[in-house]
Amino acid sequence: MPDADPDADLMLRFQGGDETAYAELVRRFQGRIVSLAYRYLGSSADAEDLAQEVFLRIYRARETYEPRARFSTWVHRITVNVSLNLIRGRKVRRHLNAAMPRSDGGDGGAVDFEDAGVVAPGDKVEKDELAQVLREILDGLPERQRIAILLNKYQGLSYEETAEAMEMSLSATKSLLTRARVKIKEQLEPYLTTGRAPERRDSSTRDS
Amino acid sequence: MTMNEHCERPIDELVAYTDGELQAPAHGALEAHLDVCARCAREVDLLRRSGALVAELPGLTPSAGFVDRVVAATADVRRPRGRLLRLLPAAAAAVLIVGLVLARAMRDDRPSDEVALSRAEEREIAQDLFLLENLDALADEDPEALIAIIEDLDLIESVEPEAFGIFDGEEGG
Repeated sequence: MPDADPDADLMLRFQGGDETAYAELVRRFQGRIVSLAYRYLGSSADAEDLAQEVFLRIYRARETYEPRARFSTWVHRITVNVSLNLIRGRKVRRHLNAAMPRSDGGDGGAVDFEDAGVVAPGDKVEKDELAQVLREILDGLPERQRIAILLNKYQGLSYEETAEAMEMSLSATKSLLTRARVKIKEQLEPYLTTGRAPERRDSSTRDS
Repeated sequence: MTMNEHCERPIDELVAYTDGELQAPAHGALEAHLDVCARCAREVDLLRRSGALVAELPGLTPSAGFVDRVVAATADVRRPRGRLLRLLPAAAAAVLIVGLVLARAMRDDRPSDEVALSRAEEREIAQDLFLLENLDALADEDPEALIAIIEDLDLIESVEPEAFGIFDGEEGG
């Protein structure tokens, strides 16, 4: 590969026994992965746990890692896998909870699977109205569309890189991205054409 | 400029154009088209602006000490854990029950300085078994859905933060 990949070099140093290279990788990628996890999940609640799992997988891959793809692409691939697992696990848990209400009431030891789209109490990140609207639109997308669009538009990966990160063909990736973009555009259109945030259910703004 | 109401430019071409992913001959042809088709030009404008908003979404700053916590957590991942849950055959509920119990046993097969099953974990086993005993209630679902349910049971296990160790690094390399 002609392109220099300093992250891959760090991983190779880590492979050679340099633990400080691992810490440096975590430092370099933490912001990107925590932010992506936050956007994939639609809430900040588990974003750091998810990112930590991604970094632990990188650690475990120490023996087997080979610099075949760009290091960042490989990290994105791991993040996508961990995120899809978590998102789907939550979905099933919601179905199970709906089907089998617990008789023993609250359980402090159980993991709290908050509904996607519900803002956790500590979630003060989203102040901007439009960002909130966009977040709801993203949460409404099927998870693969959401992940694809975030990799491409939010993270700035090319179609090719997005396909690699999602382990999908280029044409399937294009199709996902197109569907996501059309939905986002349609839902944002009122804002984009009037300059106002899309109308939300608020009776006070209605004129009668 | 005339509005072309019957324009049939494929939308994926417009999307690829706004993303700078449209290759040479198609790119020039579309640019020429946009000069004469207000409808497509408007679509491109909306796609571009809505896409830009996704790019500008605020991120999330990791909390202080995140790197240190990750590095500290690596001490726990040197010990491989069983991937039994992943190997469960996807069909028979009976095998599943045995598998889940075995998986619990595997998870319990850890150094004595770690806790054995907590009450919460025991409760979870009970929930799992209850679900499995009622699997025939799900029997009218198609096989794929059943497999999905089983896989998702595995996932439910794996998403407990303290059980993250059962993820295996299968994407190595």
